[in-house]
Amino acid sequence: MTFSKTRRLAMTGLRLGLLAVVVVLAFGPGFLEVGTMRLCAQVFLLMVLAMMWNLLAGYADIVTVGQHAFVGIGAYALYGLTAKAGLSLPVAILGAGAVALVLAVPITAIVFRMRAAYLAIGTWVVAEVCTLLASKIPGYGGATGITLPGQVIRALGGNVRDRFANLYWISLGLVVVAYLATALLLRSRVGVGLMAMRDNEEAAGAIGVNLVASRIICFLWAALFLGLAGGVLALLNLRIQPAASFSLIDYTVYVIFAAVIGGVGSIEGAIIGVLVYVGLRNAFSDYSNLYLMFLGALSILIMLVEPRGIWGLIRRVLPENIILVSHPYRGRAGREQGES
Amino acid sequence: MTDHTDHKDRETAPKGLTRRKLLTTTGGGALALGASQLIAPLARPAFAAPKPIKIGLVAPKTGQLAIFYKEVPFVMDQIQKHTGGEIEIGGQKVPYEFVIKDSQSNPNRASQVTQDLIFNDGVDLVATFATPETVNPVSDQCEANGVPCIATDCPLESYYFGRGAPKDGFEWTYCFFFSLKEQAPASIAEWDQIPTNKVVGALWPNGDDGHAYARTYPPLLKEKGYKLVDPGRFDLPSNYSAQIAAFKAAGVEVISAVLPPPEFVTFWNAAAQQGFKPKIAWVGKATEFPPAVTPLGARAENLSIEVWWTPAAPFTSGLTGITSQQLADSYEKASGEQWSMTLGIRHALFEVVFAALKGAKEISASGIRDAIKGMKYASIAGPIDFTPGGGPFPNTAETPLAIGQWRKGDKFPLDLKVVANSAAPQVPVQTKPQPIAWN
Repeated sequence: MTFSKTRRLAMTGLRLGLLAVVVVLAFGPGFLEVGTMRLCAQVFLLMVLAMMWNLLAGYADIVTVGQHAFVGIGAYALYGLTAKAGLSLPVAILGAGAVALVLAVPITAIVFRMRAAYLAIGTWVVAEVCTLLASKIPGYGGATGITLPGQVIRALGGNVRDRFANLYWISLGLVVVAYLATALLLRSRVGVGLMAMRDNEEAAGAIGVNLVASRIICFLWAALFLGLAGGVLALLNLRIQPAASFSLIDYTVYVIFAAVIGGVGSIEGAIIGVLVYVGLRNAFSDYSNLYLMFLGALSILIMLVEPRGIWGLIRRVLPENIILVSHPYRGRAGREQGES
Repeated sequence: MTDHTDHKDRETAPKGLTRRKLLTTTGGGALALGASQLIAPLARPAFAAPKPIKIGLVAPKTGQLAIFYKEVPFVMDQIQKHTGGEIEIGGQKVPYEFVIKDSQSNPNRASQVTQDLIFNDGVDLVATFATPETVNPVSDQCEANGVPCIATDCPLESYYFGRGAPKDGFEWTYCFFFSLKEQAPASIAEWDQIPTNKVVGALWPNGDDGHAYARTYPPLLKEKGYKLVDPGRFDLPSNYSAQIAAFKAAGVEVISAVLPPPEFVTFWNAAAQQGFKPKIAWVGKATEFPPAVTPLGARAENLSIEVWWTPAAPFTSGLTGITSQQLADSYEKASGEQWSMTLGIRHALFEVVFAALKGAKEISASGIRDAIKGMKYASIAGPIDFTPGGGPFPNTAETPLAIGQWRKGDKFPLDLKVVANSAAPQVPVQTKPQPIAWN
């Protein structure tokens, strides 16, 4: 009894700690250097990308290698909505998410005709098609891409510090909203269905979980947040370009790496994975090719030792996740059952 | 000259820590602060050693553009030997250091490392090169964050239009290289010298270069009495059967192409198999560098290409005084490898960097920028004029462009020889242009 009590106390402590970190981060621009704010904004956006891949691969059993499509769509939408349509920046960022969401609907119709490995390849093909199409939109710079106009950059902040402070807050806001919303989604009826599906698809279908609807909701959900992140990434990179905005390497491959080493199927995994990835990148990226081989070897090693990644290793000592997405049954099973 | 690694990114952690330490150990902290404030004004004149100037360099050390980086260590070594690691600014010798960042041939990474240079390393000036993929994101970051930037190895149209073509130009960023406006008439002037039926086949893919060629060439070709057969923009990779069939049907004898090296090999093989034998082949992007043409062996002979730098040019370095020929010789001796155009243009980039620093009235962003803005400089790649009207677009300078053909070489399998010079009369013609010899 005391043992479980201390464990529960430890979990509460960890949760409060996580909350405290978020609160401290909210005041970041007050004490951080510009370079650090920039790095943080990048990390936050990567966390959103990793979270979304994790939602699809870890919960909805949709292994996608084409999520850079929605990041790129978000970036191009942001350029269109600001430079072409002249909308204000907040509206344009939200608009970037909305455009990605709307375009995801026809993409869903194509992609969900396939399953498993075919689906993975299908998402990739869709992303490549999007990249090619982006290079053909007249007025968007073709294959060379184009720089965001000066007034858009100035709208983000009059000086460098304000600009990065705003980027920091937008990215932090996005990551917090993405995580809270996704955690709520996973705790909802849809999420419970997804977890049933993850554990045994046939059984879940047999007891009435609507597999197709759940998967489509997750896919659209991811598209929305990827589009939002893509829009903010365009503001960080200051330009759009098909090869860069729709970067398979940056927005899918590295993101999968982060999600896998952090731990697929847990929200914490996506956070840890991104932190580890960015740390490794900043420490070793000057070793170029060797560094890439090292990343590959590391992900293989982690998959062999603990398929649930670093968070899986931590969970060997920790009784439950910090961010609860499932309804815990251990110790409180009675209460949970009573509620439902 | 040190090659910094990225771990400076993490400097912020210790920084935050010291700050916190200062705050927690309030008494000691306040005392220390007070003391340092007292001492600072006294100490400064006593330790008047000038702060070293930091020059950031963003370059594709790895990835598909790595061929552009090859000569950098050699050139930096040469310049280091000449300057001894110091540069004279306003009568004072100031040490300098380079901070090199690898773009990994990835535009997103180029953008990130430029921000690292600006915010973490605090560089005074950024230099960059190798195609719009590197140059444009780097220049954009410098422009937005108020750091002077000098770029090269990016056609001026791609630089100016690819960055939104602001009417008043850019505030902080400059680029020198050739422009397509300069290249198109010069190449046609070469074709004029070879007897053909004046029917040109276009291989202009869907992409930045293809579209730029398709905008620039057709009116000029018409003016010069050429007939153009353009099967339209196409996506890479391609197998070129449709294009070759169209060219054969129209009796094409001149090819104007802009293709990556492996694509050119595909096209050239297909042309040979299908009995298509043009007399002139101009293949932008694929045939500039020895490693790309050497594998083709004799089949690369008499291919035409623009020449942005050659040892045959009469230009000398305004920094070290060496001639173009001396630069090529010392490189071949040191590396055992053949010279290529990037060698001279790379040397010129470092020259312009030093010219800007030497010309700066004060070591500040605007001081260095003003020196670039008013620069008229004689580099090893020819005159570089950044003053208004010096280049075809604002913030650009156009370097002389000769036209060359690959010939059987003496020391190396193939040599690039100057065959026409309408856009660079200073560069002597080495031999007459010849049609491709199909055996």
